Amino acid sequence: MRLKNHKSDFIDQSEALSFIFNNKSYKGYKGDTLASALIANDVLFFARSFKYGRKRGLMGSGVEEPNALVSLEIGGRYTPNLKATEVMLYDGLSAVSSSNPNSIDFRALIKPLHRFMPAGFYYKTFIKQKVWAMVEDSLRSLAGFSKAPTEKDEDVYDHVFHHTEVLVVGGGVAGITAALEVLNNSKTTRVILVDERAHLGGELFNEFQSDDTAISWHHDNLSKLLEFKNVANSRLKIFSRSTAYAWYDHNYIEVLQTNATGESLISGGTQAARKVLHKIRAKEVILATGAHERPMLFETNDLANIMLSQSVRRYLNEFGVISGKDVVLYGNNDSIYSTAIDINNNEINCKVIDIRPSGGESETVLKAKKLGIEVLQGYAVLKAHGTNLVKGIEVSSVEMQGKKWRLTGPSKRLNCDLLASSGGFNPVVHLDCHCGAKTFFDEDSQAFLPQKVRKNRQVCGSISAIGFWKDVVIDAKNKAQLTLLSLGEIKKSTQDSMSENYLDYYNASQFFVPIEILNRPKVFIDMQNDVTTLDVALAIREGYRSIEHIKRYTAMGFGTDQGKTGNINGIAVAAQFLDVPLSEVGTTTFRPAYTGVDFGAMAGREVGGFFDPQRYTTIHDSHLESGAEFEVVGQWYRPWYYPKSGEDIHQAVNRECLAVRTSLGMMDASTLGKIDVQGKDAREFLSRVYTNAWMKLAPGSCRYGLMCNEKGMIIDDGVSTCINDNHFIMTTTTGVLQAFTLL
Amino acid sequence: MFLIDCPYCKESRDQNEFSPAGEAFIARPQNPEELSDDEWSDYVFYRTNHKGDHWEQWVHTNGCRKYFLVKRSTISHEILEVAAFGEVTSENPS
Ligand SMILES: [Zn+2]
Repeated sequence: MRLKNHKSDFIDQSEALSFIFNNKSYKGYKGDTLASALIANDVLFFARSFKYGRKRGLMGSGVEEPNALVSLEIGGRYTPNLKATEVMLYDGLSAVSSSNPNSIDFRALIKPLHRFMPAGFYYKTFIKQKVWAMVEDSLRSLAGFSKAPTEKDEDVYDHVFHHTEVLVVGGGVAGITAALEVLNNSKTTRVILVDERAHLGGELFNEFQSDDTAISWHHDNLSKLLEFKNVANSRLKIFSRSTAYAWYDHNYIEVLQTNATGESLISGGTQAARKVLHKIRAKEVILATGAHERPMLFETNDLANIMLSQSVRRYLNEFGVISGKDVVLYGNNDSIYSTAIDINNNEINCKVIDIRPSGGESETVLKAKKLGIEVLQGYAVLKAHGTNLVKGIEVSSVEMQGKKWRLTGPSKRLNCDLLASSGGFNPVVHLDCHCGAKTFFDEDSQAFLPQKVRKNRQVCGSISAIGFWKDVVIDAKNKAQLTLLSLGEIKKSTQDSMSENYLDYYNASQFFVPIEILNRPKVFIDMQNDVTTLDVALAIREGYRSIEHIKRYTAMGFGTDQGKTGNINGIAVAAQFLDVPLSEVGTTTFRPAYTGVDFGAMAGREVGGFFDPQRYTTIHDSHLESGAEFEVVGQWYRPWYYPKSGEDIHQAVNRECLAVRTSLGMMDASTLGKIDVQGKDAREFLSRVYTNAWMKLAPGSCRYGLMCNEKGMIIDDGVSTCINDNHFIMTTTTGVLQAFTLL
Repeated sequence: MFLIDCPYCKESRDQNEFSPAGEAFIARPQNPEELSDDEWSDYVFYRTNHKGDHWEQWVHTNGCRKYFLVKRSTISHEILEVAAFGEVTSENPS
């Protein structure tokens, strides 16, 4: 539902937009994402899951979303597998779920069989029994992704190349601060700032309700950025709705910018590019990529309306929407209290279940209690109740014994219609790791943090597990100073200190949950691939130890979301079953691309006639008149054969051969490579590059020769002609010509 | 996706303009006819496949078309040095 009295900086309630989702019409507002507009319309089901066909709802609010995959539009503007959380609403939008939650589903019908379908099920049942080929097609068609497009893409895409001194990835508090610090302390340094969201500010908007200084900070710093941007020959470029998805060697970074979602871009004879691929070379990179929240684990944690706490908070604060009236916040850190306070301020009923015991509470916790929010401390959620949609939860008291959680009390039931959880935050280290950087596990923040030092790169903000936004400002300034130092713009860097315990702003407990919970069925780790804790346990029982192997055996993190919400939890689950510390398990490898990239954007303008140059001979028209079929050799269009009506290739070639034998043939060899060899050692040279003898070839004669390299491989052949003892004309084949001239 | 400084053009250019041409300082034997198959195959096929800083040859294919030497870390792909032929040798690499 949409909150009546909510004021949002992003939602323009004066402009209503109509759209269609799964064949039903709805209304939203300018500024909505498809996801927020559907929450406003009380739509809760977005997909069916990949393996079991379970109905799923939204979990996240951005790039991390694993469930809500949709395909947009039809025909030439059809785009598959977009996240509803990233699709900006426009008037007339039409989308369908990649796997429709409202249709009757074969996978859901065989529900009683699900417990017989653990990890490795398809392999053991079909591949080992050698019947895979028979069932592969029908099984693949059941997989929960959109159909591939069948029509030509009517959109155009652009490539733009940039060279810059500094690239800042991420436009939250850290990114904004770092960009400004660089610009303020140098007269010449160029800066590019890219951010995946529509508005610069990142998670800061969540502070607006409770912290006026956040509002004024955002206003002031954004105006300063715009002052730098809105001048002639600006040193600053800002790209919003732009995701840096790959970092290649020598600080070469690719960024995909979405200009428009799915609306038609053809008007008045011109066509704007839907997406732009920015290819950026940066001397220095500042990563301010933030963090993704990870969910808490419990039985049937995949029911609709079980979401991430920070996402519920974002929907509430940025879009003024929420999908429940009786909310439970569950987690192991203080951030759930901030969400609870915001929900409570909007006069929506909520309570907090905190796995941490009472005592030593922070200001945030005390504030929530003071507001009268019901808080259960030292409790864990065992299970969510409800069919498809969460209706209640089962909780039990827990205690930390040694380094392990144990259930201590009998369980009890609580009602709720929305459960938002937070198991801590995973720094977005993906981009940093693309070129081989490592992560390390930090006990204070319970997170895998980026490698401390790397050449020509700084990290700042919550990618380094810094939670409090005012600490982030200090950190970003410090890191920008180091960047300026590395560029030689300043002689000495200024480093200010952050508040004490800045790495444990959220007072997170370790993010393991009691192993009794992990041993329950249907505790989903990876929503998109239906991987459960028991699948990980099975993989370990079957002998897999390396997290890379466990990942492949269970398919954890293989979906289009690449395990953004699930992977780190999966690693923690494996660590618990293996009974080793998290740091010993390590992470899986992060590879490009961070998010899906359209093939159209990769191709850019190099499609159709611009794909490859076409080279025609001077008598091309004559070949056309004779009805030639062409073959492409190198880039040359050479006549292949000249079929007369009714002839196939063999008949035409036979007729041609006979004509040559009985009368005359003519061949245009102008596409061949021609190399003029002159000098007193010309003969010797030919003898060395060809395998056959050239010492006795008389002037005026020609000879066929084979060329080998020193490995003994034939690299080309051709005919060479002797003009005189010191002058030969060598020909190379058309296809090899290009390679030869490029040597 | 390297950025390579051509020692002749004196410019940093994208890898697209260049082609790799194998390990550097491999001298062609003076007397190929006298070599055994093992010795010849050692020259044409066998390379050190070094992990770490590595001297190799590149050619500025879509530029000046000259061959030159590059010292590159095969771990980080960082290019540490470029040189024209003769500026560094197998006896005197930097
Ligand atoms: Zn050059």
